[in-house]
Amino acid sequence: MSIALHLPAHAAYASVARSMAATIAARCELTYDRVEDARLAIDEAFNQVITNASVNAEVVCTFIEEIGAIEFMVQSRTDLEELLPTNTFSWTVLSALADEVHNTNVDGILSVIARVQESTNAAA
Amino acid sequence: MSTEQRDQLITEHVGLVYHVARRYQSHHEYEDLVQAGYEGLIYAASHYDGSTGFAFSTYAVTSIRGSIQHYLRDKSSTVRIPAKLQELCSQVSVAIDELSQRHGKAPTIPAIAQHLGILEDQVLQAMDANVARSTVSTDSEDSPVIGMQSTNTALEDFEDGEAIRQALSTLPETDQTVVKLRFFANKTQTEIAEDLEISQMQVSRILTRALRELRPLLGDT
Repeated sequence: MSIALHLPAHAAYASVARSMAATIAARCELTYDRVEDARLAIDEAFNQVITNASVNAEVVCTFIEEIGAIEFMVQSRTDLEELLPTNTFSWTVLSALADEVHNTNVDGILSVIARVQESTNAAA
Repeated sequence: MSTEQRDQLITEHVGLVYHVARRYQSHHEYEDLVQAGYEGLIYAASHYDGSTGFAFSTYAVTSIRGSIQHYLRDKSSTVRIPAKLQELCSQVSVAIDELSQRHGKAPTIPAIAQHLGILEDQVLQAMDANVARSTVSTDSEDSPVIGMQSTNTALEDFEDGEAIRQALSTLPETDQTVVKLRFFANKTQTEIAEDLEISQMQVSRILTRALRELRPLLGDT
């Protein structure tokens, strides 16, 4: 199942995305530390996307839930012409929090996609 | 230690909470100080290891004092968490640590809710409150700090590693350690809590606060 959240591209709305991520991660039966990782990961992704969002753009956060994993995509219209750099502190943080993470920039839409899952030896 | 033994330790030493709280009483609400101290006592009873040779009272006083000091620091933040929510936060924190010790891994949210006999939404509410408590850093959290020389190598991999190092140096020492362990040594929050002998909710709080403080310093670095 996927759930979408449309928000203004402003840091003040990151808390809405964080709460939604935590709620969905809990539904996915992730352990406490992975729920917190998902919360921090979307915060980081949200901030990276809004930093590069076009003026008056909105951010769309899409969540996909499954047992043992949450996947999310944070998207916004951007004036950036290339991909987000991955040799930054922010990307390192995101990479440490998520099991898979990448970004795309297609037709002026910047997307950060990440997946946080339960490790195989830490099932609830 | 069984739940009965833990409860007995708490009952027998609750007087320590009042004793320590009185020392901070002059400028603060006594009841809130007692509540914070009680959190420290629960934590001490849950983590006390008699084989170390230290008397429980010695360990408990340190924990109670630390908990009250945390409360006073949190009180100085711009976010005021209602006492009932703080109490819920404390219960969830203790439950997470207990269940982690019992099962050797962090519990799920439903497991925490079941353990405490509360709704999953209440657990999430406590987690939100915990993050809100991380708004302001006024001092380092009371915990042992361990060396992290190996992470310096990872910092060298960044084009602007020096800027990252400088930004990290603005954080309290414990916060620096937690950030390095999580993001450069790739330890889980559970492992960090065990290594530093702090609660998992404290680790979450430190990480949230640290990232918030580092972001304006580092920009896109």
